[in-house]
Amino acid sequence: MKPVRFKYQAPATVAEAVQQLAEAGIDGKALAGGQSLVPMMNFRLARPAVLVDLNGVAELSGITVDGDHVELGALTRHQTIADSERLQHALPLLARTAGLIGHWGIRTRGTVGGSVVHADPSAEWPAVLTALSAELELVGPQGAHRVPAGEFVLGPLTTAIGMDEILTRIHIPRVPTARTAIEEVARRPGDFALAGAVVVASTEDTRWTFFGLGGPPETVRLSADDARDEASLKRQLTDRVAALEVTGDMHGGAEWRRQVAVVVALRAWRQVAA
Amino acid sequence: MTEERVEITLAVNGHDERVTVEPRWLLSDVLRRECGLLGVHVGCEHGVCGACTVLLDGEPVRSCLMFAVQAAGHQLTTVEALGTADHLDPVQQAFWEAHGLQCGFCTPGMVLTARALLDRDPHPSEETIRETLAGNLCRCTGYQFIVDAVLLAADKRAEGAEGGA
Ligand SMILES: Cc1cc2nc3c(=O)[nH]c(=O)nc-3n(C[C@H](O)[C@H](O)[C@H](O)COP(=O)(O)OP(=O)(O)OC[C@H]3O[C@@H](n4cnc5c(N)ncnc54)[C@H](O)[C@@H]3O)c2cc1C
Ligand code: FES
Ligand code: FES
Repeated sequence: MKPVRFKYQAPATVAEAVQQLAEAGIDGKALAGGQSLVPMMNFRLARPAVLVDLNGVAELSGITVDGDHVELGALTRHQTIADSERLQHALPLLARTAGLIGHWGIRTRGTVGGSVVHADPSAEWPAVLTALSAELELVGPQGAHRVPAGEFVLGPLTTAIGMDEILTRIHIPRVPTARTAIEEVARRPGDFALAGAVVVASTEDTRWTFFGLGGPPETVRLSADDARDEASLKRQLTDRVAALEVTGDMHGGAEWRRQVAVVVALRAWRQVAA
Repeated sequence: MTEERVEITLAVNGHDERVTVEPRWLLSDVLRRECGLLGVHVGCEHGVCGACTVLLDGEPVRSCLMFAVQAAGHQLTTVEALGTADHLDPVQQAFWEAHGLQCGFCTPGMVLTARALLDRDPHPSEETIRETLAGNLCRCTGYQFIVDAVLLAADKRAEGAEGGA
């Protein structure tokens, strides 16, 4: 199928884009990589009357690394992040995550910001950014403000962004002493994860942030003492995951997803414990 | 809503094409209908099959997930640019010799993705080839001969580079 007619706008700056979205109101939609929005438009599940294409807004792209934080422009493509040598040194979890997303031909277009705003429950980015305590910078007609990544996703495909707001930058603190890993199970490389876990281990505690369970990313925290040997860790993770709200679908039932969640959580933990 | 049309220039396979499009027209459809490039195959129109793959500035993209207006100012490559019937690109030649195709529907996307992979990584491992081509579906071959074809293409390109040097 083909998209319905729309008015196409190609702003050059964030200010212009915000203004165009505000004018369009409920009929407007921002277009980033198009890897989630365009399929929905092709099948007419999304029918925006005004499409504000962010791809010409140069200030939205780019990776900045400094001593204690990393900044990603919202329009930075997954493949750019996967290939970034600077990130492989500064925060390798980001490069590794980007490489897990979709296929090459998806990653060359799809963007980190688009993924977070789309908020697919199986998407990697919302979980990774939650796990890393990232902050999302949103710009609207009233100006800019920041929202913690962990508070941004409200439910499947639902976030705290206003309809006239744009996600511009993602601020990620670097904690050089923390060890991190991501693991997921998917049918083929590049398919959406059936369940996945991001682990961040520091001297005080270990936190697992899960994705692919049907809702927003969910975090489970255990103290460094709790996470000493694998057998007791497995028991505790099983109990904690049993308490999470999990939705099954045709690719895997809720109980099965819980079991996979524990498996990937342990796989990730082995990497940081090693 | 009135039908808005815009004139754009697409740089396709090394030359400029002036086309008049509606903003909602997909790049895949414009390449096929306005530019006559029927090697751009349309399978699913939601990013899953990879048949519509073209190279945008040398990198593979799904042409069904871009609007043609977005491609102005970029270099596009379709399978038509790779070789001719008498003078195949090494990747095409390898697909022929290794039986990397049956019906041919997936082949333009496979060949372009393989070409882009070899430009980036001239000697990919079998695992890299499999991971890279996982984004292109084939309903006929069972993939093994496609993987063989890409390995063969890597050899052919290496020989070609030596021979030409
Ligand atoms: C075959 C296939 C496999 C995939 N596999 C995976 C996978 O394994 N994991 C995964 O995470 N994703 C996967 N994806 C989705 C992919 O990651 C998308 O790139 C991503 O979900 C959306 O990003 P985008 O830049 O393409 O956004 P778009 O599709 O352009 O937009 C998505 C939504 O976000 C809004 N939006 C985008 N950017 C902004 C912004 N800066 N400010 C405000 N609103 C914005 C848009 O209005 C729209 O509502 C897959 C997609 C396909 C087609
Ligand atoms: S037609 Fe574009 S990916 Fe299937
Ligand atoms: S050769 Fe028929 S789909 Fe691949």
